[in-house]
Amino acid sequence: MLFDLIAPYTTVCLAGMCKNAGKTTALNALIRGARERGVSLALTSIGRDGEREDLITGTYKPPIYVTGGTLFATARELLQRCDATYEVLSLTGVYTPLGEVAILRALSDGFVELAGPSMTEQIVALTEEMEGFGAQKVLIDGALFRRSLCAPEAAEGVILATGASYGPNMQKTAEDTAFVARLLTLPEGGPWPDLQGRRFGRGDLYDELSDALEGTGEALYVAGAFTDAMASALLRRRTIPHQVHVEDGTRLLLSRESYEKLAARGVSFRVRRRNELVAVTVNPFSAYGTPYDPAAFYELVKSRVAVPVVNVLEKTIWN
Amino acid sequence: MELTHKQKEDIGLAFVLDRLSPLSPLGREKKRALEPYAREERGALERELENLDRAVALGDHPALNRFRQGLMQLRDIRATADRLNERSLDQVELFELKRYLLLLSELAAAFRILEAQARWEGLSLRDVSQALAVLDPEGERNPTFSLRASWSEELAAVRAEKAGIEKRIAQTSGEEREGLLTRRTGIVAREAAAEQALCEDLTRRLRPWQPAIAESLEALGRLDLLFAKAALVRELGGRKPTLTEKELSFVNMVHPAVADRLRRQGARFTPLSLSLSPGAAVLTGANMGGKSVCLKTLALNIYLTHCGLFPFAQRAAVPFFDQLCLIRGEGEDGREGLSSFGGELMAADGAARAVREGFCLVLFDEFARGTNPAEAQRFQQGAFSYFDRSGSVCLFVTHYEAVAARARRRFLTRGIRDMDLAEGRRRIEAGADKLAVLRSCMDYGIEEVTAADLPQRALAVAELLGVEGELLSAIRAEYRAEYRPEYRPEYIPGED
Repeated sequence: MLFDLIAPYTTVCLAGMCKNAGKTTALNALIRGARERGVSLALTSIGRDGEREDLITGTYKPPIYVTGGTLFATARELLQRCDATYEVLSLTGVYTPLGEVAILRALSDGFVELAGPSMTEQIVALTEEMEGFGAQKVLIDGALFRRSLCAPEAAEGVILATGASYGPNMQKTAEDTAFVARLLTLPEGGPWPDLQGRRFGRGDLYDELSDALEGTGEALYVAGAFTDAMASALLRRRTIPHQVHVEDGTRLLLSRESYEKLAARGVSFRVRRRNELVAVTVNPFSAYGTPYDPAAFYELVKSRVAVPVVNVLEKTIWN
Repeated sequence: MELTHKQKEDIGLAFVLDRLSPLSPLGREKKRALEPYAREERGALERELENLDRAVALGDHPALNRFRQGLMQLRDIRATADRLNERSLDQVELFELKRYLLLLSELAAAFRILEAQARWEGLSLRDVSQALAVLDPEGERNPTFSLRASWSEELAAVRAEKAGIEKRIAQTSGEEREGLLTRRTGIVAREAAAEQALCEDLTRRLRPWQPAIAESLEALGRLDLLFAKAALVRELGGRKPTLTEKELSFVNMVHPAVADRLRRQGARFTPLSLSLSPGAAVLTGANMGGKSVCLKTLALNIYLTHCGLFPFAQRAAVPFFDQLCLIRGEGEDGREGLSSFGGELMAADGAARAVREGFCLVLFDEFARGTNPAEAQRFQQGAFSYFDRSGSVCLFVTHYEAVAARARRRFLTRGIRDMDLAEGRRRIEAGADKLAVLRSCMDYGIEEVTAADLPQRALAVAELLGVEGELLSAIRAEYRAEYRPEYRPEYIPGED
C-alpha cells in the first residue's frame, strides 16, 4: 500500500526515471489512498511537463483525477483544462508562461492539470501556504527526474518511478534505477566548513581543481552541481580526495560510469541534507516498445534497492 | 521643472528617493511617476504639502499602521477592473475583485478614522460595499471565491447530477468506470455553461461599480505615496515649506546624503541659512569651504519641494519656479562632442531662454572655470548682468571680486578661522590626518556680508593639505611678488 509508506512525511515528491515511468499512476493511487483514509491532500508540480502531442488533436485529458476537497496548484490558463468544480483560495505571485500560479480547492471530484513553481524556495512557500489552508500532506509531481530537481528542502520524502519506457534493456534500467536510488540515499556528511567561495569553470577545470586541492585532498565540498566534467578532472589527478560533499543527492549530475570510477578510486559521497527515498515504483509496460516481464522486473529492482518496491499496475497499489 | 538624469545624480536625489518606500505596486507606480508640479498645478502642490503635513502629524496612529499593513496586501488589479467593461470576468478574476473589495472595506474603515483627525483636502477613499455584496451576498467576508450552486438554479441542478455520477465513479473500476467518466464529460460541459452564465450575470451586476473601483485604486496609490512621504519625514526629517510669490529663504537647511556621509565619518553637517530675492546674488568663500555643497543642498531642497516632498530645513519659504537651471562645469551631462566649457555654455544658453519664459532658479557654479581666467571673468560678469535683470532668482558661485562687486547681496562660506589655523598646524605637526584637520578648521556655515572683497584662503588650504614644501614656497613667492593694494592676503603662511 503505497499511501501507508508515505505516512511519516508531510511533503513527498514523485520523481520519474523517464516519461511514462508510472509517476501519474502512483500519484492517482496516492490520491485514492488519501480519500480512503480521510487525509486532506494538496498537489503541485515542479514546473510543468512540456506540451503533450494530444493537446493538438484536442482529445487530451489531464491524467490526474482528484477527490473533492483536494487542494491543487496550477497556472491560471490551465484552469480551463480542469473539470473539477473549484474554489479559488489564493494567487501566489509566482508567474509561469501560462499565467500566475493559483491555489484552488476542488469542490468536486475531477480531472486537474498541475503547474507549480520550479524554484525550491517558491515550492517551499507554496507548500506552507497549502498547509495553512488545511492540507495534511503535499504531493509534488516532480516531472522528470534530474531536469526538475526535488531538493530535500522542498520534500521530505521521494518516490522514484521507473519502468520499461526507460529503455529496452531491463538489466540496465534496473541498474540505473538503483544508481539514482543510491544518489538519493547518500549518507549525511555532517556540518560544512566555511567555504572559501572559490568558483570553478573560468579556466581549465583540471588546473583549477588541482589548484584548489593543493595541500589538502581530504574532502572536496561542492556548493553547486558535481558534474561528469568535474569527475573526469578529479580522475586525472594522482591524488584524489576521499570524500566529495554536495548539498543533496539531486546535485550529483553524474553518470553511473563516473560514479563507479570514483568509487573504485576510494571516493565516497556525502550530502548536507538527505532525501528520504520512500519507495521505488515499477511499471513493466513501455509506451514505446516491448514490455518487461512484470515479475522478473519487480524482483530485479527489489534485489538492487534497499527500499520497498511497488508495481504500479498491480491492484495492490490501489488499496 | 526638469532635471537631466546626470543633474539628479549630481544633487543627490537618489539618496532621498531610495528611502521613499510605498508599500503597494500602485504606490510604487506613483513614486516612479513622481515629478515636479507644473505651474498650473500650483494649487495641487500646496494641497499635497498641506496633506503631507497632516499625515506627518498623525505620527504612528494605530489606524495608520493598520492602513499601511493593508497596503502591503494590495495588488494591482487595474487590468481586471478595466476588463469589467469589456467582457465577462472568469472565476479567478472575480476572486481578485472580491479579495480587493474586502481589503478596500478594511482600508476605507481605517481611512475614515484617519480622515476624521487629519481632515485632508481632496483625498477620499470610498468603500464600494455594494459591489462586494454582489460577490459575497451572504456577507461571510471569506477571502476565497467560488461560484455557489445556491446562486443559480441551473448550476445547482447540474452540480447535483455531477456529484451523483462522481460518487458512482469512485465506487467502480474498469470498463464501467470508463463509461461513467464518458457520461460525466457531458455533465461537465453543461456545468461549464452554467458557470459561464453565472460569471456573465455577476459581471453585469458589477459593471456599474467599475468607475468607483477604478477611482479607489487610484486613491490608494496616492495615499500609499503620501504615507510613504510621511514615513520619510519621520526617518530623515524635513518640514513643510511655505510657498511664496518671489522670495526664497531657508533656515538651517541640510543635505541628507552629505549629512549621512559626514555622520559616518564622525563629522556633522553645518546647517545652511540663506535668503534670496529676484536678481542675482553671489556666493563666495575659500576652496573646499562648501560652496558647491551649498548649491547642491539648495537645488535638492527646491526640487523636493516642487515634487511635493518636504525640504530638509528648519524653516523654508519657497516660490514656485518654472525651471531649475544648474550650470556646473564638471557636473554637466557632457553632451556629445562638447568640452566641459561647451557643456556649460549650452546650459547657460538654456537658462537664458528659460528666464525669458518663466520664473526660474538659476545656479551658476564658477561659470567658465575651465577657460582662461581673464575671459572667464568677462563671461561671469556678463552672465551676472544678464541674469540680474532677468527677474528670476540667481546665485553665482564665484572667486572673482569683480563679479562680487556687482552683486547687491553676497554670501560667504565662513571658511578657515585664523584661530583654528594655528591649532590646525600644531595638530598636523603632531601627525593628525590632514583632511580631518582641514575639515575641523573649516566653518562650513554661510553668512551674508556687505563687503565685496574676498578672503584669500587658498594658500592656507594648501598648507593644511600638506602641499610639498618647495612647491608651497614657490607659490608663496608669487604672493609677495604680486602684492597689490586691492589684493590683500590676510595671511601668507610662513610670514606671520
